[in-house]
Amino acid sequence: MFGIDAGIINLIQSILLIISALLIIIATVGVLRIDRNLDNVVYARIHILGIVDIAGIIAFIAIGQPLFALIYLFLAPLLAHALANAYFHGEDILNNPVLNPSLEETSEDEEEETELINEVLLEDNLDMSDDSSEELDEESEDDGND
Amino acid sequence: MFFNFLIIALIVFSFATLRIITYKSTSMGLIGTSSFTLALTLLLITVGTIHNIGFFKDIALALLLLGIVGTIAYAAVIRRAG
Repeated sequence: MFGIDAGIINLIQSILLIISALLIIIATVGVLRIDRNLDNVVYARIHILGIVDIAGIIAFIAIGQPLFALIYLFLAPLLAHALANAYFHGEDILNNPVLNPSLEETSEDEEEETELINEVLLEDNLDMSDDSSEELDEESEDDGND
Repeated sequence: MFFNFLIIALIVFSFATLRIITYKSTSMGLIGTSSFTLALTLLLITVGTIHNIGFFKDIALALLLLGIVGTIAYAAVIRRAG
């Protein structure tokens, strides 16, 4: 094909197949070994399975099915995003304030606290700037006298 | 060639996806199902290529398209229901 020796093509195909098989095995071990008590573990699993998606695309190319590779190249990110979005809006109690209203309350409390802190800091700054301006005025008056 | 490595890896991966499907949440079931679809598609194409069985490719194409589009549609339904 294209003047390239068939042996080289077979070699490339074999290397791609081995790479994809290794990636699939590594992702399998990762998905099964990840701690299920971690926060946001579903997103981590979706992330790990993205490796399998890429391994599948490599395997499709190695087997000689570029149409499958192209289709899956477009569909895989859509799928991962749809699954993550569905989990967030449907089941994610940890991050979604709609499903867990206490999150919204804590965020409101934090906002109030930050507003208070900002007000206090502003007042302190104003006081300091008044003091410094008075000192400057005194210094300038002294300079004028000299 | 090294089709055997890929077949073994895919069989191991398909068992892992079956384990993922058994988790509690609906989203994990969807994730496992979509991954199992990919593994089955790859297995069908690999076996079809080894044994020169033509219609395996057609089955794999239908499985890939319908499986993934169905999963995306169901994910959209869950998202709206939530």
